[in-house]
Amino acid sequence: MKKSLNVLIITGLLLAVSVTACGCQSTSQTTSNSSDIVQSSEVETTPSSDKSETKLDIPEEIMPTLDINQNGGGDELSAFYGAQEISRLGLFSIKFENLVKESCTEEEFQEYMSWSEENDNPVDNKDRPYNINEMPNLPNVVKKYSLDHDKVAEILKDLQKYYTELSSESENAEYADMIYTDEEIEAIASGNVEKCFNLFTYNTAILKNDLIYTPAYIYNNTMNKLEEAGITAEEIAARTEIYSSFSLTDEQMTALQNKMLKYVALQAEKGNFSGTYEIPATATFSVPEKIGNATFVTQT
Amino acid sequence: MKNILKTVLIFAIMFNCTIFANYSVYAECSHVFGEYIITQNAGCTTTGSKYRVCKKCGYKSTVMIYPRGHNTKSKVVSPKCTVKGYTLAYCTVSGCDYTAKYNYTDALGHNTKDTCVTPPDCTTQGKRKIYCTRCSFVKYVPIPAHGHIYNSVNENICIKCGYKKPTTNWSYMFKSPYMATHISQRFPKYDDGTEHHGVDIIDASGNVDGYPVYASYSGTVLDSFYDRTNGRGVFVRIKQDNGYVVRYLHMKNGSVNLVEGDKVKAGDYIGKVGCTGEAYGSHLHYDVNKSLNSSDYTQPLDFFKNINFTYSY
Repeated sequence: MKKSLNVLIITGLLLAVSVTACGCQSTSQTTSNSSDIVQSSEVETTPSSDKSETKLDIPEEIMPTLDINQNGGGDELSAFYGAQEISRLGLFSIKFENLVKESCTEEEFQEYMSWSEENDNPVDNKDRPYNINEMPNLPNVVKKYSLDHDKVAEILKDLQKYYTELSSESENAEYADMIYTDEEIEAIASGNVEKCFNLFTYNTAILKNDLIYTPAYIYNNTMNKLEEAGITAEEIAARTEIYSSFSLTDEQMTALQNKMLKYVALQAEKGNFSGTYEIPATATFSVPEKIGNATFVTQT
Repeated sequence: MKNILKTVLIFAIMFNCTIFANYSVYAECSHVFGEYIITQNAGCTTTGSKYRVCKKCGYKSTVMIYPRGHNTKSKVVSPKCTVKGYTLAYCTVSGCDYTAKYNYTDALGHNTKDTCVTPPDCTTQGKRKIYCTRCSFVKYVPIPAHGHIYNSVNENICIKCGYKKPTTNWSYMFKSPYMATHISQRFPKYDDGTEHHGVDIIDASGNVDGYPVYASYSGTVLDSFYDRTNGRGVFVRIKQDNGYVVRYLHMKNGSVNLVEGDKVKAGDYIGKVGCTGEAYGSHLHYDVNKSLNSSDYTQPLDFFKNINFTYSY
């Protein structure tokens, strides 16, 4: 009797367990089957909020407006707005101006005057790069108006001699900077625009193909635009110290330094920068000391 | 012991009966469900629920309704004078207040016009009204007295008010580079605090474009260029006989004929006022460097103590 009771109890418990399990399964299947269509369509419209936890949040720096002095300017920010390296190519001596005048028709000369006046203010280039083939510069003008090679060379050689003598009398480096090299004279007189621009070393502005990106361009354009232009983190990092010397307001300088830091950090995160970046002391944006293979050190 | 076993047996039988009863009803039923009845509507970001009942066995199947997600539309909000523009995304579902802003565009800045309300005279301030043509921005700015105006550097009677200039010993001072006497930008800083190597001279009462510019001292022309990359425009640099190096910037295109090495005397014509290079309105930028040896600029107005300059700020 005891044995049969035990068997009965065990059988009963086993049945209870198995039936319960079956019941649950069938209920859940029914539920999921019946709601599959409804759910799938509704899930699709739910916005996704997936984000990698390790990705740095680097927002675009809001740059203070660059105030244009209403009544004038000088050359105090020429290295910021312009391309300091090529300043010799934008200096048109009065003798050169006279040569253009005598080499052109009246109509061509008027066109030259308008073209050059419209493009003589580097502040206008803050939103766009300087196009070496479109802007009024010496080799471009020689090429466009087919100026006589020898006459151009003569004018430039006179200036070369003049500034060589002047710079020997003066300790002011500005005069030495105005001495054309023989190679530059030949390239200008030949109207070889590309060669001319490639003769200079760019420490402040950045030359990419036919375009020169000025510090003002870097100041005024988004990180995406800088990336599109092919400006590398190395190029930005190499210019941090030079850019710190511009006569900008404190607010503008901090924003510029933050922007450069953010750009380098962003590139480091993408694996495009692996050096050491010295963060200027006045930059206010913070980044980790290590991003990818790059190291970020605050200047003291 | 028997009693315990009995109790367990009875419990087991009862429990199994219940399970079997339900199972036999639900599991064997090929459900025929009615329509879903929504107990709680799903919101854009909140879940809802609904159920349906089998017509044959009464089985109730309850399911969760997933959030619908926002039904977004977007519109472009144009920038205003001082407020950035942006694209506004918003949810069209009634009661949902979701919005997001992106694609910011720069504020337009004021489109200002400038009118003179009260003109200044030689010694009394005037007033001008600066207003925006797009918004209600209005600002009144004093116009400094323009100072006395003389027909030429050699005349002593103001053509506006008849004021007679005291006799001055010119031998230790520079001559005025031209007739205007209003300083719109001072040395050594602009009003925003950035560097300014010289002074910008205009005439508060009118346009100075084309005014003749004179050499302020005798000397030799160092160089003259039309600078098209650094913002100086048409400029002349003169090494004066007293050792100072002065520059005249932003002059009119085509107005300068001096070249390096040319000699000038104080008061000689050197060109015309213009707005070439980085200039916003015609003016003369005039600066004085202490020597040929460095970029050591000094206060130009120290050399014009006989002239009553007026100032914009």
